[in-house]
Amino acid sequence: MNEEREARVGGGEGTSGRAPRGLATRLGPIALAHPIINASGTFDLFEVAASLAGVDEAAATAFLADPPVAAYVPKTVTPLPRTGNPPPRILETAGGMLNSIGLPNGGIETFVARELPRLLSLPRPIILNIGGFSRQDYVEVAAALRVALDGTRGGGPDETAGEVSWLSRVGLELNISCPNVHSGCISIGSDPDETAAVVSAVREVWPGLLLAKLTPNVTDIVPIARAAADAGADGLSLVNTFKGLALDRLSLKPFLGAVTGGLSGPAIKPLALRFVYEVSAAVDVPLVGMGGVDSVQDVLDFLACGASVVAVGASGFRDPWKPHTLAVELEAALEARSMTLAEVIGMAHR
Amino acid sequence: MKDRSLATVLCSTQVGSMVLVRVRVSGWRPARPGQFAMLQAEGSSCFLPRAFSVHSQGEATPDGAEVSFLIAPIGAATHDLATLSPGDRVWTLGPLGRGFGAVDDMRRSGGRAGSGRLLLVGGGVGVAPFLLVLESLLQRAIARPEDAPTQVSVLFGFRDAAQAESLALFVPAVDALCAAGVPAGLEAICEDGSLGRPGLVTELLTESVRVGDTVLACGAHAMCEAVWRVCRQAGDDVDVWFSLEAGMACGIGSCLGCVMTMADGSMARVCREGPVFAGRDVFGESRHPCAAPGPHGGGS
Repeated sequence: MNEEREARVGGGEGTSGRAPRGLATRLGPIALAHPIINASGTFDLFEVAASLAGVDEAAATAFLADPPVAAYVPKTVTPLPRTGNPPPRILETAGGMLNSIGLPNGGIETFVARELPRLLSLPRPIILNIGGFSRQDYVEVAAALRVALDGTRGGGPDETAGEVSWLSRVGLELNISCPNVHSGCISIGSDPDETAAVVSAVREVWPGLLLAKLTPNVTDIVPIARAAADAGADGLSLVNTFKGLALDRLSLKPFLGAVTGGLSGPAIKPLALRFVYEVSAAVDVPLVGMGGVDSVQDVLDFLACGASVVAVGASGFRDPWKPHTLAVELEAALEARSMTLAEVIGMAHR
Repeated sequence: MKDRSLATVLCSTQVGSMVLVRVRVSGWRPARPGQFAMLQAEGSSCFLPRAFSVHSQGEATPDGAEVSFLIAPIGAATHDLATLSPGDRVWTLGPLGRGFGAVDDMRRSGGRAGSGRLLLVGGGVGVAPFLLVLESLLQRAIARPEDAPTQVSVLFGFRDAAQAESLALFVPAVDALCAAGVPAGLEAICEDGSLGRPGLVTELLTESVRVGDTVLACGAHAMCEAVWRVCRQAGDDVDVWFSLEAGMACGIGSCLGCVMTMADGSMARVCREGPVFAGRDVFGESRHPCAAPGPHGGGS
């Protein structure tokens, strides 16, 4: 594999050559070329492309022309601008990393003006991730996005004049699970009633794909997952990071500026897998599985536990091409097993 | 699709308590002085790569370029990189970030901005980026002598004799600069007195720095603060640039983990807006620096 990778780099190939075959799937109204996407907050397509421009211009161009994800999930956007948490914000821990970034973003107004147009110009579906501190925050952001999308060319919930509606290329993911902001968000996602209330309120204003991203920092996730699905979520993203703590090895004081952070990386994979397995058995909506995905075996495991789509998180930090690589490897893995994607999904339950 | 590049280790040399690792990287685009690369030993048990200044680089050929990094083994990830053997491989992504643009600014002004004197201040493994700075200055001195600085002073501070052995890596470049007609000197000081009087690099800086100088510094945050104080005391016209370090997961602007709080309260990513920052942006006008320190004791 490594030989192959090196050969590809050495050959100066700038594009993916071909998309993986036989992996086409759907997430509600959105068609995906394969089931591998990125987890929100772990991958900034435009920043990576800008960085790559100094490394290899062809690679940077290819990154935007042929992004390494089946759908792109940008960072969380909130109603108002946020600067994020004080540094230090990250630390590597055994088998993963602890982060407390704190959802820095320019706010919904800036997002609609500056980010949305270039996101819509990507040759991939996008799943916009929104956060807030109250039910009203989520509704406000979702409504603003809908207004903006309805106003785009080919916008509006109905397909008109041969234009493809944005419904088939834009989804929404509710971040009700960030462990690094101290009110709203995770406290909403920790409570079935609050979760149901937020989901149904957003459902009123958002006609497209609606995902709720849940936190694993709860005693029992199943009632929360059921509440989200019953309130109108089209799918669930499982899971956000696990709340954790690390100390500075010299001072023996909390290392992160915000004291606690969210654990991600291979260390959390078995933990995340358990949530996907349990929720899949209890709830009948598609799941986006994530948590420590780094290898094609991890992808197979999440699919077998019931995820229809798998997201790469922390692993994409060290290798931004990872989702594409995993898709190519998944094609080969399914071929080796003489199985289709649909046959693998949920296998662990049968 | 492009991928992270697997570089091949050509040689690994112990230099006191540090290790000089030279690798061949395919498709390497020449780094500007002060730029960095993310490195991770193939098969490393650590999850994330680490950021390293480009120490030196050879000419790019169709087979790639020879690039070297100076590594201080302080944790598991750096240990894995420091114990590589020829033929071993390293995941490499770079060059990244903004380098020492001040070097180019001096060139544009024909080396006559301010005093035309350039002071390179390094502490510990923070000396790493300055060989590429010297190599770049040498190329310029040969190609366009009129654009070279009027004088180059290399001032290094080390903890002990083992760390100070890295000084030898810089002697040929300083000699070559002198031979090319640019007056250049190399001074070093050790905290434990291994090189004569015990002390900190800021003592050398205090003796050298004058109004109009350009100062490039790289080292621990405490050293950078002290360098800023010394330069501010020397006068407002000292142009100071710092190459900063912070723990980062990606090095390419995605994780937002490497931010520093700047003097005006804004956040800047060390990987994208840096790693080289103007002293005023980091520490403000005050002689009492307030920028938050980067991670120090926790990472590896």
